[in-house]
Amino acid sequence: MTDPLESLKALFIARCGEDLARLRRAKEEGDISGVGRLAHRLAGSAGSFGFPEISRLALIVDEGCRAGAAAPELALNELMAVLDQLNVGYDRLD
Amino acid sequence: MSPLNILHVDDDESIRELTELSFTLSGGGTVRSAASGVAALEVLSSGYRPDLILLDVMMPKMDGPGLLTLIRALDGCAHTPVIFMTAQTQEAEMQRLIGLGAAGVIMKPFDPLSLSGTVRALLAKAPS
Repeated sequence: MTDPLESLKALFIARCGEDLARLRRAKEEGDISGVGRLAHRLAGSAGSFGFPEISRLALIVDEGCRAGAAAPELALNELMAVLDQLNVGYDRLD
Repeated sequence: MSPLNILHVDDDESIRELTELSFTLSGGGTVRSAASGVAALEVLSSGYRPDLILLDVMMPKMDGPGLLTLIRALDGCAHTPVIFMTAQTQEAEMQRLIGLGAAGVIMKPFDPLSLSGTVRALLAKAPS
């Protein structure tokens, strides 16, 4: 029988791929509030699905976007790399 | 302990689904979800009166505290327990939310397997 939590986790990972595309677009367009909104959502959700590192990085990006005029570059790049890895792994499983 | 009827308001679809599943798996309650403040007000205006409202703090257009003010003005909702859910970790923010009359604050991300128990514990501690 399929574990319902695992099913939701798979759905969450699939959505991370969409979030990564949105993050890249927002970063390219210099849309700081867009980056912050996406990061805030990931900060609050990823850990609940078993990805605390995504939540940790996303929180840094979220707080950085709110505090300053630019997204914290290092944390944002790390966050996108982790999301990319997750996405690649998911594509392989799919 | 009887299951709770819960209204959960959050703009994040993944969190709405996870919260609903958490309470279903634990038998702690039945969750009705709303994706925005406006959607929540529509649900409440239709006459639904939950035992508890779980309220995300940061949402586009209408945030959780703003929505709480409107909920309190509705007939039969003045004393409905409200628990905020937030990814904000600062103590001052937690105190601000409690000061708005919330029964408690749950930090996001949360453990889906213990969410129901956390909610029960907060309700037990909250002044009636």
